[in-house]
Amino acid sequence: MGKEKVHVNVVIIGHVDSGKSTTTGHLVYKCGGIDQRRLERFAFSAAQMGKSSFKFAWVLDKLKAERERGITIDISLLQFNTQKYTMTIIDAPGHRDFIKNMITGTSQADVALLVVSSAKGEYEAGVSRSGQTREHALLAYTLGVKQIIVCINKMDLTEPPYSQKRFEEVVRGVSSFLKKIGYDPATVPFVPISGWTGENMIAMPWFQGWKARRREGNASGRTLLEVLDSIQPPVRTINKPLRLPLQDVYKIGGIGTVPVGKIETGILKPGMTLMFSPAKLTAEVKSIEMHHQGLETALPGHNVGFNIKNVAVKNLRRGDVAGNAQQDPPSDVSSFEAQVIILNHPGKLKVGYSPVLDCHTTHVTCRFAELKEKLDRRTGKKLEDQPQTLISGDAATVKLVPIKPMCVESFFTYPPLGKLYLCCYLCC
Amino acid sequence: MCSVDFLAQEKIWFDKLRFDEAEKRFYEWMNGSSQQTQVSALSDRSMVDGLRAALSKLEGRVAVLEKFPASTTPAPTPSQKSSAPVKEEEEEDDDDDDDLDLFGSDDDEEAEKLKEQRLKAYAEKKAKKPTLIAKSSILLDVKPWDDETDMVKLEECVRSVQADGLLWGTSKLVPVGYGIKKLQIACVVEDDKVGTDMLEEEITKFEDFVQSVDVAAFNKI
Repeated sequence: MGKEKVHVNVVIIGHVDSGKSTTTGHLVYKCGGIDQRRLERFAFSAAQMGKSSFKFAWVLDKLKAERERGITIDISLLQFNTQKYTMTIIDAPGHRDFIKNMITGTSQADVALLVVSSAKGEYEAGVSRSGQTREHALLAYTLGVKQIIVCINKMDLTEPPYSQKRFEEVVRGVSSFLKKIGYDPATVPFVPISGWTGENMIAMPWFQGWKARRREGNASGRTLLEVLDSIQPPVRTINKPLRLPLQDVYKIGGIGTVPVGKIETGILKPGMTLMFSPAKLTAEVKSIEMHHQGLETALPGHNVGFNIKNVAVKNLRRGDVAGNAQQDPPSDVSSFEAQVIILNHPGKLKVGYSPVLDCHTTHVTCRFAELKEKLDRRTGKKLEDQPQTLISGDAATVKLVPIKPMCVESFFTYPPLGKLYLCCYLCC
Repeated sequence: MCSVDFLAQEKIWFDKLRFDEAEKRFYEWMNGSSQQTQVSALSDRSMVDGLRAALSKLEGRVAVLEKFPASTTPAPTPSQKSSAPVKEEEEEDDDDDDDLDLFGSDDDEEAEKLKEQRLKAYAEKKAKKPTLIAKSSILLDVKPWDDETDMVKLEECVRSVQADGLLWGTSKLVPVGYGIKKLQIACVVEDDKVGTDMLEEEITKFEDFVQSVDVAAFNKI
C-alpha cells in the first residue's frame, strides 16, 4: 500500500450566483476528479451531437443532470488530488438542514473556500444585508473552520475584464467583514479566478506581485491550486484517549453484539477493555472489522464495527460513547457549561428554554439552567454577567442540564464530541 | 576658405536642437492635443469655477459684513483693502475645505449610488433569469438491525417514502462488517420542501427493518 495523501475536506460557500458550482466543477475537472471512462463517454456523445469542441461547461451540465436524477451515487465525484492532498469538496447547499448536518455530521470541513463574485452587481448583492456571503463566512467561523480561502470569482466579467481595480475593491470589502467576523485577513489568501473559463490559475499577469507580499517569498499563493496545497493539514488525534460514539448496535447470530461507530480520537485494538458511557458498562473487544475485513488497529476516521463480550444488545444504544477503560474513560454528565452562539432565532431566549441537542450521535433535550455570561463572539471577552435574555447573534456561556444522562466532552480535549447543535443554534 | 570648407565637411549636426524642438512639438501635437489640452481645459475650468465660487462667497460675506458691522466699525473702507487679501485667503481656505468635504461626500454618494445602481441592475438581471429551484443531493446510510434483515425489503420500504420534491436515486449495499450491510441510497430533494429530519423520521418508522439513518453526504446540485 502506497503512502496515501492526507485527506482534506473543503466546504465551498458563497452567495447563490457566485459561481460556486462552476468553480468546483472546474477544479474537479482539472484535477482528474472525473474518471477517464466517463470523460471519454462524454466526449463521444458530445461529438455525436456535433459539439465536438467538448466544452467543460457541457460536461458540467451533463454531470448536473445526472446528479439531478440521482444517478451518480459516488461521493468521489467531488474528489480530486492536489500535489499534497486528497480533497473532498462539500458544495454547501442552501438547505436549512445542512448546517445541522455540518455540525453533527460525519464530514467535518477543514477548510472553507469562500467564493465571491466580482461581476458587476453580483458582489454588491452578495455582501448586501440580504446576501449570503456574510452569513456563510460567519457560519464557517462558528463551525470552527479556522482556515478560509477567498476566491474572487468571475474576473472575466468585471469591467474591464480582469480589472485589478475591481479585484482590490472586492478584497477590501471582503477583508473588512472577515475581520468583523473574527478572521485575521492577513492570513487569508485572496485569489482572483474565473471559474467559468478556468483561469483560476493562469492569466492575470498583474496578480504576480501579490504572492511575494503575502507569503514572504514562500512559493505558494498565486494560483488557487497552490493555495489549496499551502493549507495546514488537519490534525489527527491518534495520541489522545479513545472516543468512539456509537451509531448502531447489531446482534449477529453466532458472533454476538457488534456496535458500529466512527473513531473520533485515539486507537482501537482487539483485547482492549472498553468503557461505555452513559451506559456504564465495560466489555472486552474481541475483534474489529471494517468493510468486512478484519483490522488489528483502527485509527481516527475509521468507521468500524467491533465484537464485544458479555454485553446484550439492548444495553447499548446509539449515542453511547466508547472509551478505553484504562485511559481517561468517558463519563456522563448531569449538567455542563457550553458556549453557545445563537443563529437565526426569532425570539428571546431565557432560562428554562429547552431545545433538543444534537451532539455526535446522540439526541437529548437540554434545559437552559443558567445564563452565565454574554460574550463577544470574536474575542471571547465577557460583555455582561447573568444576562436576562439572549437574542440572535449573541454568544454566551450557558449551563445546560440534559433530561437524561448523556456523554459530552470539552471541545478542547475532544473537539468532535464537544460540538453541539441545539435545535437552531450551536455551540462549541 | 579652408576653414569654411572644413566646416562644410564637418559632420556635426549644428541645428539638431531645432529639429528636436520641431519633433517634440509635432509629437505633442499628435498625442497631447486631445488629452493635454482637454486636461488643461478641465483644470482651467475647475479652477475658474473654484475662483468664481470663492468670489461669490466672498461677495456675500462682504455684503453681510457691510450690513452688519457698519456701526461697530466706523472706518472700514481704508482697512478693507488691506484686510481683503487676507480675508480672501481665509475664505479661500475655507472654501477649499468645503470643497474637499463636498467632494468627499459626493464620492461617497456616488459610490453609494453606483452600488445601488449595480444592485438594481443585478436584481433586474436576476428577475429575468428563470428562478432555479434549489435542490440538494443527499446520500443516506440506512442501517438494519442485524445480518438477517431483508435488505431488499428494506430498500422497498425506503423507496415507499413519498413526498413532494423528493426523488429517490440509485442505491447500493455497503459492507460494514461481520456480514452486516448498510443501504446507501441517494436522493434529490427540493430544498424548500424536504428536510433531513422528515426523511429520517419517515424511514425510521419502518422499525422492523431500520435501526438508524445517517446522512453520509449532503451537496448542492
